[in-house]
Amino acid sequence: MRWLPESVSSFGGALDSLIVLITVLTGLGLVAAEAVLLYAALRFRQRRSPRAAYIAGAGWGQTRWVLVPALLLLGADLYIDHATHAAWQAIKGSVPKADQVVRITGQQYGFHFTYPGPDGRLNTADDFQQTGELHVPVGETVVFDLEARDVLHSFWVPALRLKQDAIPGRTIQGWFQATKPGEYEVACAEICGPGHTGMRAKLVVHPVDDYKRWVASRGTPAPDGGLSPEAREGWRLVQQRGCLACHNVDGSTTIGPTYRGLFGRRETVVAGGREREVVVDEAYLRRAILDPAAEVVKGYQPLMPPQQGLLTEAELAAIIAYLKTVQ
Amino acid sequence: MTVTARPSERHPAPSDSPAAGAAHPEPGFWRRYVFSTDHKTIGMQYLVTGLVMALVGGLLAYAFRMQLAFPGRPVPGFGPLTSAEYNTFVTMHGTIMIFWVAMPVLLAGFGNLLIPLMVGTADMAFPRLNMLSYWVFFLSTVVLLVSFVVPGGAFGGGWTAYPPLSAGTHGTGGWGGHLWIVAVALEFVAFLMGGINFLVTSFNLRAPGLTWFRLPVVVWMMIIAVLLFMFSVGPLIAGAVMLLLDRTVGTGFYDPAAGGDPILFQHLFWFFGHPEVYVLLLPAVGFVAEILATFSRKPVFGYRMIVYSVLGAGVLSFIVWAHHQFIAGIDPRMATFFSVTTILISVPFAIVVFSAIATLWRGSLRFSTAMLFAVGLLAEFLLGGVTGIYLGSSAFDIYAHDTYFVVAHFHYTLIPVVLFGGLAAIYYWYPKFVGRMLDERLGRWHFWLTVLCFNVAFLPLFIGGLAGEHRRIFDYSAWPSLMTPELVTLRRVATVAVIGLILSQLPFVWNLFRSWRRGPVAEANPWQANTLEWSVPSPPPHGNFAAPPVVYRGPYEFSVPGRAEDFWPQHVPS
Repeated sequence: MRWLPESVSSFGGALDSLIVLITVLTGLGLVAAEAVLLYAALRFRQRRSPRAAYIAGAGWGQTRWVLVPALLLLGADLYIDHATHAAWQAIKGSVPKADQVVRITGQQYGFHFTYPGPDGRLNTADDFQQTGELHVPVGETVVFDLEARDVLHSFWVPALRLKQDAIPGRTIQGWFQATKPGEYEVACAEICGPGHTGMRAKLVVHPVDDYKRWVASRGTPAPDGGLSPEAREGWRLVQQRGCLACHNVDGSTTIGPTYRGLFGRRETVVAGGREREVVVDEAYLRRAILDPAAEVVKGYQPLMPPQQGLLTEAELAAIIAYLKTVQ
Repeated sequence: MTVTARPSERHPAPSDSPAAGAAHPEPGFWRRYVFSTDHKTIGMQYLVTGLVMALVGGLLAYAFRMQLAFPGRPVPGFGPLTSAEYNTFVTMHGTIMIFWVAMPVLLAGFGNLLIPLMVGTADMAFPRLNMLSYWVFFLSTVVLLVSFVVPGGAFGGGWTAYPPLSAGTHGTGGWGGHLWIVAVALEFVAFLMGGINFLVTSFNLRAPGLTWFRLPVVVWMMIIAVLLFMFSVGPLIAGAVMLLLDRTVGTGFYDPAAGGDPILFQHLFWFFGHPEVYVLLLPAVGFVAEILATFSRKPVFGYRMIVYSVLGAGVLSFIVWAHHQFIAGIDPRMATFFSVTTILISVPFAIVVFSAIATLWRGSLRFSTAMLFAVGLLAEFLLGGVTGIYLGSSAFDIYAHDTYFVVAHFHYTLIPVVLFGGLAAIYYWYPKFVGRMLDERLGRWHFWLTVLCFNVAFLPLFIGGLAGEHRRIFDYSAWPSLMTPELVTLRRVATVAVIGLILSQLPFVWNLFRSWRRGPVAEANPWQANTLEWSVPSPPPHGNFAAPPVVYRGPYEFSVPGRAEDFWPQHVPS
């Protein structure tokens, strides 16, 4: 078992060396202090030391036994400060020139990633968004704009040795450079509500050619062709409002029930402490969106904020029209 | 409030003390035990309330540790835990252990019990204010406990209550949060009233001859703790009021959409929060000083050096707060400043700890239970202090912030301080205030079981934190990298040890009750100590001193060369 997860970022090594440095310096001090304490406790017990010496610890002649070790600690502290400053500056001090940019948005309870599209710039028409997966090329500097929609979140990728809180109302810039292709866990590290446990995403580090192919496919494939305009509007709303933070369309289990095959499915729901069976129809979807806590699908927690007042009648109808198509 | 300058006039006759005869009728049950103005009764009330709340906080820990160790299974005695309940339990565990256990036991409880006796006066300067302090605290306790049963349950936004989550519109609205804020605010009002008493009493009512540097170290520590509390609590109360307004009347102090800023609360909270750590630590430093001196039969090593170091650390503690916010979005250029101040604060505390170790050197150590807990505190606190240097490093926090490494660190500081320190003090002063000796054999069992279970419970948290376990996660099953057999086993081991730690307190509780009735009767000075509280009967009568004491020397004149006795009480003329 290793102490830390594998490091796959350009600055991870600097951070890991800092941890080793602090461990060696403070570890020596800790062992020495514990050893003296243990020795004193054993050696000067009443049985072996029947009469105590009168030592008040005044004057340099006596206080030096405390002050000299404290000065050694001060030296170690300053050295740690120095190394800390260097590591901090390398990681957080400034943001280097970007090879790729991405916007990361935290929302109860997921991360949305907005990519610039072929033009390489955010906030243009060809941007596209994906929820739950961050795709980056290996060896390139990725600069991110980190935002939060509702409460504090924290974007944490242990393998990158990177953590940054996301604050509503602010855009915080950061960067990283992944050094090894693979898939790594992304977590929310700041308590963000009862669904905090499930707030996770995946970092996919691609070889460069792979990444280009992925960009060309524009991330999430668009929903099956032949959607009505209303259902297409519903798909847009489901992305924009962040529904995909908790519900996915691929059928896997996540924070909320998947949309795949939802319409027409028989579900057991818990309402007022009692279980009953429902068939998911338009009326049920309407209730479940507007007042989700009233009937909670068995096995899930009542986490979804009620949408009553947040959606217009037309928007609600569009979302339901879209949900019917995800089979 | 009537203030009389001379203590002897405030208690014209210490009438309800058996020793003083029965010239006056004893006050009735209510005046004597419930609405008492006697600092000893008030101290006991704080102490007992704190110990009862420790049980509540411990049971919450049991429930959420079981959930972590065995996710998906009902917790025996609680039933299945939801994620919202989990958040509530960790929030309330932190809140209770810091504000309703550590503060009332270490500072309010022992401050009340010890300060008037140690400075040689009959009672606190403002006895009725003191009584009010406890009853406001009691009210705050009731408010906090009631919040568990209001609709929606108790507050679950984390004990640091960061907005916008805590501001009520994103899942933690309702009465639980309102009551949480009100309870915390009431509690601070109570401690402010108590603190005023501590300061005025130790500044103005010291016995003749009791100069500043003849005060017991513990009184110094209480004074500095109160000053830190008073200087830091204002911003927090302002922050809490704004939070309550955001929750209830729709202001937007912390809402960016309304022009507010969520980070503001973090600054206000931690400007208080870091000095608060030392508010808890310092009384325990004082207990250790008293106990080490008495049971080493030696003066406290470097008395003045300790006081000056702690004063320095107290000042420094006001400019370290943003080390809680390295990755919270503060300007990166601020990190190095706060990193340097934070790591430097290890130096004054190292001087204190090294001085404590030096006090043992060439002493004649008697390992009573109080001494065991005091030395245990030093041994365990060293690891808590050292890991504080890790977390003071801003760059390390990029990885470790909000992981179990932080949880392990602050439990390695707070449990030695609060549990070991509080227990050391109880074992040491129980005979004085109850009048009976505790059973030392049970005490040794209690100590060794506590040490064992504490380390087995909290060492694994360092490992889990380094491996990447992040905080406030209700069920790690969703995280494959954190479900390795080693990490699952460590979580279970830690949980079993927490249960062990709770059960280890049973011999102590039994000891408290049994000795209260049946322990050997304590004489006035069972430990042959020097400070003034040992010059009066055990328990001290109402009004404490039959005649106002006069102080002739410092508090730690042990093993003075040329004297047959190895102690020399402060009140005995040369």
